[in-house]
Amino acid sequence: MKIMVVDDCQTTRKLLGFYLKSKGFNVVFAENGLDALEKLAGEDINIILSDLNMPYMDGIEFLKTLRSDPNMLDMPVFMITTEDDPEERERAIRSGANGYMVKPVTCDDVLKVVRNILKEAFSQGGPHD
Amino acid sequence: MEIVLQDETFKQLRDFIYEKVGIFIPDTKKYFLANKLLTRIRDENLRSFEDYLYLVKYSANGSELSRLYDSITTNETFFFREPQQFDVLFNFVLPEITGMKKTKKIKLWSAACSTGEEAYTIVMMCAEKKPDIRMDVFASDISDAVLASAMKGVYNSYSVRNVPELYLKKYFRSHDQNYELDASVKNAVKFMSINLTDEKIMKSMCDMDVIFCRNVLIYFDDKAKQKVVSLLYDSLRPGGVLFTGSTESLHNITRAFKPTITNKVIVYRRT
Amino acid sequence: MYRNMAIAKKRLSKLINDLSNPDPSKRRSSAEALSSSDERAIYHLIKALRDESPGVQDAAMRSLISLGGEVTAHMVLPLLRDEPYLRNTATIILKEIGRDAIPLLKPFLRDKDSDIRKFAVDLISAIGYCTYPEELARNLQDDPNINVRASAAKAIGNLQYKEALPQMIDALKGDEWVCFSALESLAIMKEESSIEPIISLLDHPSEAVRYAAVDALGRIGFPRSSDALIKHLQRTEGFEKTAAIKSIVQIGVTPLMSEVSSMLIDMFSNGDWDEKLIALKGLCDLKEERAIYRIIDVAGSLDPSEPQAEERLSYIKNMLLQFGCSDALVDTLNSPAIRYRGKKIAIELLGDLKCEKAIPHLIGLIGSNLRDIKRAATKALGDINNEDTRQALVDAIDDEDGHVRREAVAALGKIGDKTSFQPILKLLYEEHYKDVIDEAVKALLTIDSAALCSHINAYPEYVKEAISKYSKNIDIMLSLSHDKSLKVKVTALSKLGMIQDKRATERLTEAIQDGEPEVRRAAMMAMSELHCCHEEVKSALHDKDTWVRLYAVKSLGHSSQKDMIKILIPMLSDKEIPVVLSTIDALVRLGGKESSSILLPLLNHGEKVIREKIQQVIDSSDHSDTVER
Repeated sequence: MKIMVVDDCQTTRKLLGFYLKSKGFNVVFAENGLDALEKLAGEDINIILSDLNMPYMDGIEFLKTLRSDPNMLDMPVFMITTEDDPEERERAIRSGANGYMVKPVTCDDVLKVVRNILKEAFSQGGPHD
Repeated sequence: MEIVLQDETFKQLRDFIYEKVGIFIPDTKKYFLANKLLTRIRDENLRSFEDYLYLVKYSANGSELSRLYDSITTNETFFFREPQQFDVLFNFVLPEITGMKKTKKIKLWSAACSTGEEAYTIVMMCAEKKPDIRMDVFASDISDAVLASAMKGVYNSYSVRNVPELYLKKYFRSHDQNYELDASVKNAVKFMSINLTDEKIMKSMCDMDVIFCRNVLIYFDDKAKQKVVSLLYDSLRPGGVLFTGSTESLHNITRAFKPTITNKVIVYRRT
Repeated sequence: MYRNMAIAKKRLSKLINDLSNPDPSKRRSSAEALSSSDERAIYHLIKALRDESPGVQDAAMRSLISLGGEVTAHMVLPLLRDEPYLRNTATIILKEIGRDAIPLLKPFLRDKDSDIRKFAVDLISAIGYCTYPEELARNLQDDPNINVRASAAKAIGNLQYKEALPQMIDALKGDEWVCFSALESLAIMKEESSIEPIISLLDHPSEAVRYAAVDALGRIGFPRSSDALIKHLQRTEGFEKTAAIKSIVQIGVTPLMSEVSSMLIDMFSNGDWDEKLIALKGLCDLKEERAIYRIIDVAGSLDPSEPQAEERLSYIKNMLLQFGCSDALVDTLNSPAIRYRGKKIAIELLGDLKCEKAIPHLIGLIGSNLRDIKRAATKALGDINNEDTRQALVDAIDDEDGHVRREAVAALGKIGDKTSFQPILKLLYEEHYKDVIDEAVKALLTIDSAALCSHINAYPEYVKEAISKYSKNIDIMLSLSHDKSLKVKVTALSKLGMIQDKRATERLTEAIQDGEPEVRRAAMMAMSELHCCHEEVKSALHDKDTWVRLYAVKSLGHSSQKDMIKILIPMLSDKEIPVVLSTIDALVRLGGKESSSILLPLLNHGEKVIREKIQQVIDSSDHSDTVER
């Protein structure tokens, strides 16, 4: 089970990474949307947690590019961002995000999201094993 | 007599290398650089790294620069390296491009081709998978030594270890422990000497449909990478694509390209 | 001047117009070209950031960065309130503009929009410079938005603003998100006074905080953290335990505990490279030989075509050397599971360690059908330098692989046994690889120089060249310096510079007058080592060959004779840059500070590299004046 954390802030990556690694998940990090796409090419990722505001390729552009690949239509992508704006949330969902959380997030918040995604995946036959 | 690389000379060498080929050598690599240059110093009967610096800066036709470049890069490569990229090239990229252009003529450039394995792999695969496509293959490198080797087309067992049996039988002749490429493959590639940071010469490479630039961007710092990638973009025609090495990244370099993922291969498109 | 300004204005107009060209390539070219214009282009480039073509957007961004300055920063700042793509592009530009943007960011720290405040803080942090860091401390302490406070903590760490230490330590008591950020920054700041407050967090209810505290203590690195970390290690589990071990190793007090060894071996096997290197250090501290097998295996799996591989391998090898010649290392040679690259590394180490107990295994490996193993084994035997290996090495000089022959010959040379002379001499006549020939000659010179050189004139050119390179016998060198082969002559002459002998000097002064430029060059280079014969060297200042003149200048520069200054001054007008540069160095050496007045007129030299060199000389002369005062 591999989770990708996409955020341009190294501290945030480290904290979210800790939340996940300490519960046994493998984590891959990316600094922005383009970095994430490059790494997706080489890794088998099951879930993506992504920031919105990032240089070179922000979260929305990342989502749109990701969803343009037919193989990535089912990839669960959750936005974790400081943007607490309903319009931004709407935009993210329209662009293909499965969910949206506003920072700061706790370990429990993150794990709840991950576990729900896994539960859904297994109930549909576990496409992301 | 011990020949020592002083800090000041190292800085001057480093600046010179960066200026000429865009590769930045960090302080931690001073020791490696010194070791690699000692052979050249002894071959030329020089006494010091300072003398070597003079040689490399002022040697006729810049030949020493090419040798210096060889010593600081790893030239190890092989045929069918990262085959998934070639599969995407032939199964997705080329059909798309020829469909859009309504012609079967393709211009492809293997930039930083080293000893030629990449370019020759593409030629062979084209002959097998897309014989109807007329591909003009260009291959370039800054190093005269590797270009000379590439043009000879003779390889050791390490280089051919990933070559499928079919290709090995059809396109190679083996003798001693070496493998020589068939003339039809060798003649299909046009080799040239190009420094990727040299704007003038890069501008002469234009209207490319596909560029492979793999495992060379890793040697550049961000600034040099930005310059090279920008020049590569300009060398592509609209709709053309760039392949980089799977461990290489453009993620804090440029947003000019549109990245797409196909079968886990990332392809950068000039829109 | 006015005409130039008119042309420039016309060109600028054209470029700006071309930003609206229907062809995106032209728009991109214009955007790129505007990088060397001025403030008049800024507004248009900012507009081009909204172009539909990413290529144009990128070029516009690069050009704005290139233009830089406070005006560009001022005009880009409003984009922080725009749509996400433009906001993010603005942050890239402002970060690259750097310090010029800093004064303009100050008011944004009090913006009513928390996102803007956060952008401003993050930018200051990324730029790494701030003239008002106390404002960031205010953000850390008082900002109502938790994300801004966390960013402020990060920024203070990046800026190393130590005056904010009390606020940072206070932040450790707050929310987990801010506390984590503060701990990361304290790890960067490395202040001893932060250690106790961080140690107290080892009992924090939040796992993330405890983890960050453990990590910070390791990175801060003071040994007094070690007791607290060891106690913590003993009462914690899993991820936190691993973090504790890492920190303890980083501090340098790896405890002798069996579970620590096992965890370090696990970390080395499964961690990322940062963790691997820390684990390796710990295993080395403990001299944990059980880990050697795994370390060799990992080292052998490094991909040599990746540039970081060389550095990592070097580090691993240096660490393994500290283990010494252990049975565990020798045993890796016989393990079928270790890949050949790993075995090669083990062999190299055994050679470096001069590990005699490995000799029987290494002799066996000379017969390997793996090229790299054979070569490494032969070399290692040479490094160990033991007479028991003689026969195996003599057999190896018949190997079909040139590298093996070379290493075998080099090894026999080190051993120096006279019975090896004939087999190596036989090889010399049959060998076609230059490097093997060189080693054979070196070996023969070591074993019996007189026997080798007794028939010197019968040898082919390539053998004589090698002899002239490696012999230390002056009679041989003098004889070879008259050889009919140019290569041999040149090599012998260049070596005479290392021999302080009247005959050597005489031969070199003679050779400076030779008709052949390569001979003169070699002689002059050698002469420059001897620091003598200045009258003869002076005549070479007018040689046709650039390198002869260059080395003549160098030689006189080392003469310590001030009257050489006036001899050298005309060389400042030499047509070749290296000669002029060498002359400058020589004049500085001879004339010291007074050389500045001689060199001053060259500040107007046509060649940039010479102007820069002169300026450097003048600047360091001024500096040493200031220091003296």
